[in-house]
Amino acid sequence: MDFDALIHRFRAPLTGLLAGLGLGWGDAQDVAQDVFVAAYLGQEAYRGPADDPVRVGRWLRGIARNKVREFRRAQGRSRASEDLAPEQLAAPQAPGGADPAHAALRRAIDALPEKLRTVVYMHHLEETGVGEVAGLLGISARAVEGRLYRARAQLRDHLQPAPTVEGRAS
Amino acid sequence: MNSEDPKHFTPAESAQIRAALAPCRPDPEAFEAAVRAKLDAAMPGAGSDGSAESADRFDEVDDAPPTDSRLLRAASFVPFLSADAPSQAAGAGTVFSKWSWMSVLAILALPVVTVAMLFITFFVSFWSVHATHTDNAGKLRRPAALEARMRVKAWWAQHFKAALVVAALLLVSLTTRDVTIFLYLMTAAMLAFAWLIALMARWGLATQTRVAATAFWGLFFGVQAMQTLRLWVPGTQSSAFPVEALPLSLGIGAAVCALAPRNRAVPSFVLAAFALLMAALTGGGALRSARPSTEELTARCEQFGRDIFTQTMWREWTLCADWLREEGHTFDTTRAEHLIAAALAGDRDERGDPNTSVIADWLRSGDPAGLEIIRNGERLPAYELSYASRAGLIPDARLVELLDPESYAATSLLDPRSRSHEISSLGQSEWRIRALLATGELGVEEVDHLEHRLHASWPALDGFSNIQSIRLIVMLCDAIGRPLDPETWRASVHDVLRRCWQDHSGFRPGGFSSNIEKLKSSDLHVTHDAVVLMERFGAPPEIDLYRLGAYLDSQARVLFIAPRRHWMQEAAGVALLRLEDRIGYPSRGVFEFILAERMLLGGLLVVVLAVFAIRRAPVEPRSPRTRPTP
Repeated sequence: MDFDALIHRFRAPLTGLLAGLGLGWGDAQDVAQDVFVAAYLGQEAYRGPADDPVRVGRWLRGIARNKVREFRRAQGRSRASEDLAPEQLAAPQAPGGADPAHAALRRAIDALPEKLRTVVYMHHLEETGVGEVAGLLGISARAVEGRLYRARAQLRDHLQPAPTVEGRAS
Repeated sequence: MNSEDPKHFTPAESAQIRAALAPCRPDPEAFEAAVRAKLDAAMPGAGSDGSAESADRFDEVDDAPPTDSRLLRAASFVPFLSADAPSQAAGAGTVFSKWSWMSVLAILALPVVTVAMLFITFFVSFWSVHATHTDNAGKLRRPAALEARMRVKAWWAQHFKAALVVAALLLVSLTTRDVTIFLYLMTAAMLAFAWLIALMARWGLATQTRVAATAFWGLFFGVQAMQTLRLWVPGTQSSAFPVEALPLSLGIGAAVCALAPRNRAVPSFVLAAFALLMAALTGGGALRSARPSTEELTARCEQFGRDIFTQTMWREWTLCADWLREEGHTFDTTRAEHLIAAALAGDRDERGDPNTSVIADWLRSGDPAGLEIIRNGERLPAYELSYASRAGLIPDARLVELLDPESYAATSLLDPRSRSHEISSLGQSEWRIRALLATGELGVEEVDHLEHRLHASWPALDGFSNIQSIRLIVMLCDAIGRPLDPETWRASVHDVLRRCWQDHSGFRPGGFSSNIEKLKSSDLHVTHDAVVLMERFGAPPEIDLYRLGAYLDSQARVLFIAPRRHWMQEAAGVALLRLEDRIGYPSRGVFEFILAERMLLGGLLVVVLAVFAIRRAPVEPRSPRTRPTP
């Protein structure tokens, strides 16, 4: 098993899954990192094939569930969360500001029902394959596609037609 | 996804959603760095630094031969040896992962061992003085013995409370983050001890052998205490000397004390050898330069191997290679070219994928079969490509072939509507920008556009790649022929450097953090990039370069018997070379020098006082010469 490949493959969907569970994006990244650390330390517990996204995803989901529980317990003890609010994360990071259309689309995604929102986060954060998303969620690939279809239907009003590309030197 | 299927998101819709979610996307490098830092914290020195050994251990965990259980237990009980020596600590790492109770024991051992050593030192000293008193009393004339006993009693009556206060303060000082307090108290205690010895010598109560034994054990346990404390507060000093110099000096001092008495016996030589061995094990790193040699770096770059963290491995290889090239040295890049071919073939484990050799042929000669394999693959290894293109491992013509000019990733870089938008994930986009430049078809307007977007990518400090992003922006601005003017940009760069400087608080101070608000720990790669930025934009006056040098020194230094540095240590060494050779340390006055080197000077003073006390003591017990003045 290549640990780097594991991170590369599951970094985004795992972060998306944790964000979908209600964690702030900063916390989601933090907990996702903890999940990979725990996976590395507890690698001997995993006996399945390294290239099977369903088995690996199921294993990571189990670790993630425990980590979320630990995180919420810790958060319960100290309410002073330093996580950035989604508005702060969505705020423009560079001179020029964020695209208002993107901000509106982001709000529409955040407003989706939890199940749909989670698959959108997991699938689109970094173009993750449906197999990895299905493995992490413990559902079939068809079910993931079904959720993406329903999410698209709800987001249709916020999606613009494809941009025409100009300025590229021929 | 099929773009024709209306049930699914089209590529354009996916791109819009990705753009909307861009602020939430974890930065791959920062994410990996954070995992690595947490892994290092969870299993210190266990090889997560990118050593080949750790990679093998991860991959072949099921086939690994069982480690000797006695060795594993020993590794847990000797944490001071395992903390800074990744290769030696592989056993300890296995212990931590296998038996959590062992790791708890090892962690508990640190303060317990330190406190125990202090108590032992205290009681050995007390017992030593008491035994001397008792022994000598019998040899003296009756009135003299009574007189001497009275004098010692009087001395203790006068100073017992002070001794107790010093002992208590020594223990309390262990809970602070400053080793200096501990050293001041040790020095004060040694001064008092030397004074007592001088008095006892005058009273005819002390012998050299007894004093030497006390001083020896005090210094010997001092070596251990320093080593333990060093683990708690590494890199906190602004010293120009390696942190290992202190335990080394105390250890050598202990050996000198063992040999100092005039009528030394055989056990003295054994004790001296024992102290020297301990000094070598705990402070031996001071005997080896932290600066990697050109030969060492060249060998490293030529023997480039895979690792569990392939991106990190490429990053470390690139920064070593950059340094060698900047210094005008050449080296064989065959291994690196093979590895980039393997990365393009998706052969992460280098298990002999036949596609690797086909792609290697394409890189060398342009054989289209290799390009076909790459295009049919899952996705391009963007980070590896960026590092390889920066290092010139991929010919321009191949880079252009790799860039699909119609792809969204390529066209979006030059999309006129994105002129004021940041470039998301600069680390992944770097090779595409270099490929666009390699086409030789970019006009002035397109270069202007790229320049605007690079400026717009200046980090807002809420992410985890602030300094690294700025270094990439600087490099890419150079690549497009629009270098950042140091005078114009100095204030902005210095502001970020100041904000990310990990001065006092947090874990591993002395370097730069990727995000000071969220990660209070110096990061080696971030620190390297900060040093590179300081080369061009100068160092902000608030940054203590000596402290920075001490941090890099502690990260680059290896035990003198270790065969070679690991990749992380090489990276730290290169950053140290950049700091010392290209930036330099500011000059210091005498007082500043004394203040900065107080730990080492304090340690040397303790040794000198111990030797002085031994030499002042009489070889044999003798009668008191003067009236007591307690």
